[in-house]
Amino acid sequence: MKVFPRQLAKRDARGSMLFLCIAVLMVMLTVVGIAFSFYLVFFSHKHLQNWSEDLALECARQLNENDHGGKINNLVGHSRELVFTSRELYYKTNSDDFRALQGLAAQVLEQARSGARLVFDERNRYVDVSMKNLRQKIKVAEAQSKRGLLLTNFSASGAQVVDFKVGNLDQVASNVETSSGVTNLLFHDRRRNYIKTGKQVDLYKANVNLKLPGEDSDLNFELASIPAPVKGTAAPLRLTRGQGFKHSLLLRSAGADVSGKCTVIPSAVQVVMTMNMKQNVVGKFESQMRAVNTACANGAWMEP
Amino acid sequence: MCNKQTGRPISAKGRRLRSQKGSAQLSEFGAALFLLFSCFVLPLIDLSIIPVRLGLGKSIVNNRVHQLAQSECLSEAFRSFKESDFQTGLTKIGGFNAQATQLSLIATSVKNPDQSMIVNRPGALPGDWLPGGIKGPCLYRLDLTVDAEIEPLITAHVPGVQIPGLTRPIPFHLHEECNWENLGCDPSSGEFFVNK
Repeated sequence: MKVFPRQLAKRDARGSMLFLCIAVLMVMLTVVGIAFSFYLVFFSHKHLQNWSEDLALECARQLNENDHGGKINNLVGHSRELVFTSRELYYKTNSDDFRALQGLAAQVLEQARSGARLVFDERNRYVDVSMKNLRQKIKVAEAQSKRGLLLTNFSASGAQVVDFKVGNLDQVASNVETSSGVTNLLFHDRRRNYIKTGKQVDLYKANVNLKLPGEDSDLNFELASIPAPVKGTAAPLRLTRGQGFKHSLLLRSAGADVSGKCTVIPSAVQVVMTMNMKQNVVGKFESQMRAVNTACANGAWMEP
Repeated sequence: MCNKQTGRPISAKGRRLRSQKGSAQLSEFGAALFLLFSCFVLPLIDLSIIPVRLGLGKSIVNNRVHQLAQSECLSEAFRSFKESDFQTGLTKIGGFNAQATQLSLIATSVKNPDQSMIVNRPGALPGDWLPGGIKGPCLYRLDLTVDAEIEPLITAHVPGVQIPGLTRPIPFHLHEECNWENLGCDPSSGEFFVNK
């Protein structure tokens, strides 16, 4: 095709327009790119926060599902009271008036003691099963959140549970009311500072070995920190700020599973999740986002 | 290579370059360009920082109210809010001047969503609005409002001229809320944490 000099001159003059248009377009695209990157960073962080909250709440729910923890606490409390009263009964049969009943009292005492040991073992078994379930939940949650977000030049992926702790909130006592009917036991507990007194109700302190006096001091009675029901309502499952969280077992540390045994039923979890973010919309940028969440298990129900 | 008569440059094929033909177009277009840049592109760039600052501010307010709603009791939330340097935190964004902040608890009746009760201090929620009260069940939300002024990238201070976004910052009313988490009751005092 023949090109006339006149046409070439026209094209050159328009060329500067084209250059200007491209320059303005590039500036505008850069501005849009920056805004889009900002939005994606916020969006990804929100996403990570939601995953972390979901995992914390789901695991906290598991800790006292169907009030298993609260029921075990009540069993421990009743079993302790039974051992104490059986021992008192046995001592009474030392007198001449009741000596004939000593054999029966010894049998009752032994049954009470073996019952206390059984409750202790079952509680430990429950804790082990709970911890196993939690480890499973962490893996499932991690696998679900691994997919992440992937857009053309932006990716937020590799959500990982870096730290996972189980424990309790130190300001929460147990759900077990003091044995007001057994005055000697109440006196002993007050003397040993086992009771958290309140205006409405006195409760046993949590995570303290409530040792009995004398020959029964070999038995262990440790209660979990589970909110007691008040006015007929149980405390619901919730997220907390994590103030006063005391961990009793690390299930995961620095991204690696940690083996260990929990000695008491935990009632709170703390989750630390991270996610890697990469973008090259405007320049190359890599960063790691972090979300920390603490959730507290639901409270105990009213005892029937 | 130059034209002998005019002294202007010519190409190898003898065609005239844009300096001869295109200069007039560029000078005509220059005025339009000046108008485009001064009246549209520069104010646009100047104003474009405002949504970014607003987004950052909203995100900070949202995070703060979310954090406060997870407090053990309402008094702790108010105390924590009072003690923290929240306004200074907002000014760190740059160009974000928080004028006033207000934290309050809103109880909304689930049966009658039009009815709600707003309290600005712990212990002020009437018994009817507490869990188990006659207005219940209720939805409890912690509300944080911030009156702020957001400056553009460059504020042109012209005496007597008050154009928001150009000669003065734009006033905004940020409002974020989050559901109150601890709906339990303190076993020792019998008070609900939402009102304690």
